[in-house]
Amino acid sequence: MFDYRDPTASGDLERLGALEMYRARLEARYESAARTKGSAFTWLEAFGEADEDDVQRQTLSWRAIPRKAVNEGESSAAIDGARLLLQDEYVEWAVTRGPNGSPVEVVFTTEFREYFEVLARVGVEALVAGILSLYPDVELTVRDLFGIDGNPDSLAPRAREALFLQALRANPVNIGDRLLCLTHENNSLGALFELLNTCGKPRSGDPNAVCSQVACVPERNSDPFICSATQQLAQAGMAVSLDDPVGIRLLELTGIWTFGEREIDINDPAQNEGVWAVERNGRRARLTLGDDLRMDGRRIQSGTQVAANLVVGADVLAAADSVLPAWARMGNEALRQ
Amino acid sequence: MRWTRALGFLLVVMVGGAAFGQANTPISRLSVAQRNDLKDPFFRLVLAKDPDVISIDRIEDMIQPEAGKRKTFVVDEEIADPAIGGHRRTVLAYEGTREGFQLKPNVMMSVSFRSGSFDDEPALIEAWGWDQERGRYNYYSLEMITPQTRRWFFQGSSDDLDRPESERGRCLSCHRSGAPLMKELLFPWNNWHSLIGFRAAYLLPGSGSWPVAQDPKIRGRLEGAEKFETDFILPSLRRFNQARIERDRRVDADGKDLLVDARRILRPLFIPTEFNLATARQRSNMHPLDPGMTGMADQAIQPPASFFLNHQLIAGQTALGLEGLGISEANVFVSDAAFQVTPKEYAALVTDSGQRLGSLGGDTVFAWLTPERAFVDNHLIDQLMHEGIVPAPFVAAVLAVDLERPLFSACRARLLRVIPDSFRFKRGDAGDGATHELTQRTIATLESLDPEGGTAEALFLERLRSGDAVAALKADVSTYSTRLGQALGTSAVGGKRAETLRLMHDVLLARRENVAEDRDLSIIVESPLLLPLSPELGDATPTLSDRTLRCD
Repeated sequence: MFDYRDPTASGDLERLGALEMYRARLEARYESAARTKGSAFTWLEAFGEADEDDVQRQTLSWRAIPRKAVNEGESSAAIDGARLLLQDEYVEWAVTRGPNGSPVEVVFTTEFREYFEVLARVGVEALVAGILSLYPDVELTVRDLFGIDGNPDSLAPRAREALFLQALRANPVNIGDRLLCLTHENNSLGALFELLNTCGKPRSGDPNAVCSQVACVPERNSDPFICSATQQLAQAGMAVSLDDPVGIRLLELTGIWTFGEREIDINDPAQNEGVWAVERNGRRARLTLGDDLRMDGRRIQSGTQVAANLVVGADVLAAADSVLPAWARMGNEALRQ
Repeated sequence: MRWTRALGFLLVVMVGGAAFGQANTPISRLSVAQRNDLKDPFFRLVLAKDPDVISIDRIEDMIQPEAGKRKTFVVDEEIADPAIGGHRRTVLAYEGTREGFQLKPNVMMSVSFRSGSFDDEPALIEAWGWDQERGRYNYYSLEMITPQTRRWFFQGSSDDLDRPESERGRCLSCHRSGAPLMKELLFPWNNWHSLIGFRAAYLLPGSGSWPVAQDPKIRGRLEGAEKFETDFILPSLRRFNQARIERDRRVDADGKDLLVDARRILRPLFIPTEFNLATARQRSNMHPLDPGMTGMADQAIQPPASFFLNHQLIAGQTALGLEGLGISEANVFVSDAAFQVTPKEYAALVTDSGQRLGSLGGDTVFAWLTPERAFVDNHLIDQLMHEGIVPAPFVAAVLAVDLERPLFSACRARLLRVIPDSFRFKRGDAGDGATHELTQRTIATLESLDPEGGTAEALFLERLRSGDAVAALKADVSTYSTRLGQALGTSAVGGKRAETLRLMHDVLLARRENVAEDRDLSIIVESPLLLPLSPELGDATPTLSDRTLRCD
């Protein structure tokens, strides 16, 4: 099995005894996708056997703002407020507002719930420790985390994980102005793999047409972008895979940012005075809003407004199918038993 | 910046600039005072230190020595053609900080390369930089004087828009707003290389790629149009508009906010300064240079909403940071399946109309390419609304005039003359618009004209007086979309749908023709492959409107 890394680079998975379980879960995703006949998606290890010069590293990027909700006329306030319904671009955010109703902080995450699922599988202690990495001062009950009053550790790991997932939408560290992980039903690791897998089956014609023919939502930003890019690679005879560590990264805030009259590079920690703090290996970030901060000349009124300028992306590897080892090439999916 | 394909000798004619001594002036002839006046990063980092530098490598070292922070973007009307032997235009842009300058999005160069190599000392470089202190863009070009001699020229600044056209720097004939240009601004960026729109695989390493794909100015730094849009152009245009507004904002003797030169700053609401090109998200599969051409799209074509009306301003576009008027009814044009065109219908429209791309039959890479109101124009108006300088009902009243003609409206254009030269406002609070000085003074001027019913002036006056021009526009949009939707819908009787589609396509062709023939806008039509046109289109002006508005 490939030594998949902890996507947050926090060391938590290893420290809490969950890394091997997380790796096994990822391996299952890769296996399932790479064994799909006729798909350009292949095993990650295959790229390690190819000549380095033949391997392209690409970041498929899109804007965090939920295009579908915007086109359906949802207001910025509505999108901010209905995270679990409307924030469906593999990015979710929570807004903390001050006494006068103005936002004082926006936290973004791209961490998949699968990360916390494996912690729940390991046990209550591991899950709590993982959450404390995000909210060190929070006090949680078993009911908060699992929706029951008994001892979750007496349950089978699979049952514990299921209860955690079931309670996730009401988990106090995952509602209101707190944000644990991606929770919108479409924002899952499985969906990302499935998207690359199905869109990686080369077809003739318009790569942009493929999204509407597979499990892909053309009205979103992320799905058609990922799908079209993957299909273009597949049509060009390239094999693709998600790079390690797998996931979505918060790439950058675009736009002109100013403190008063002073223009700053908001993405540069040396200039931004800590107002944009990217954490956990680009999986989480916190924007602290002050009176002087402006984005493109405008005061920030919502998280949605920031999401319009937030670019996120997934790292992929691509190489001509012909330069990969035979076992990883298209058509040879069944060779690796 | 507009690209000139001329790669041969260029006769440099020294025109203009006499009074101010700047536009089209060799850098070497600028006085010390004039040089000190150029505070953009391109001049300060490069030309102020070495006015004779002609090597791109050397220039890039001076701007951003870290190779990882240099970006290359490629555009060309022949982007679909992978044949060796072609050439492409590119924009070189930079990230990071250098000597206190934020490089992104404040300094860029435009240059071309051939399929075989990227010339380090090209015949022509055009460059621009944002002068934060002056709130303006400065433009420069490296020109060939003789085969052995090249010279840098200062080509003027966006401030030159205040000067007579004959005295402006050459670049402003193309950069009509004064800001950088990206015509195909939004997804799928027809004519641009993009990871998610059209991927020019021949520029990426691999079999079948052009030799130039290995050049360090391409390899490892080639980025897609998606990044150029979000990281470079949109922020540039927004900041530029803020500077324009700031420049014309004053405080009068009574301490009240005042907008001077209002007719100039409001002009983009009435008359387009530039245009953008939007397309459907679907490929036409009819591009004559595309080896993958099949002659018919793979899926239904969805014409962009901006074809039907000024969607950005009317609906708003949160993703672009435009609040607009918030009339979500305008989204019907892209959410109702009736407005989609089947591949067969589209192929017939293109073929039957005799549409040509240059001398070749066919269509653009992405279907239904339409000129649309430029983002730089719409954002300026949106910013004026946002700051309370112009009330939303005023904007709605203007947009009600020729609603169905978002780009070329003689009726809307003539209303500019009734706008006051200056007006007072309350910062951040335009109220309901009725008591706003701009509204009141415009009403007074219109009343003094005593316009006849059925004229643009009469409609404008009626809406300004109505007290709720936004609601009235909302009703107009609903009526318009319902009428057109019914004509296109499944219940359309007889050949009504086919007839309506033909009309829509004729409007599309006419709008492209308008651009191609417009004295100002045609300057940025750099290639016959930019706009599909039809020689068979008659002189009649097709319209999607069912109303007759007099504006003669």
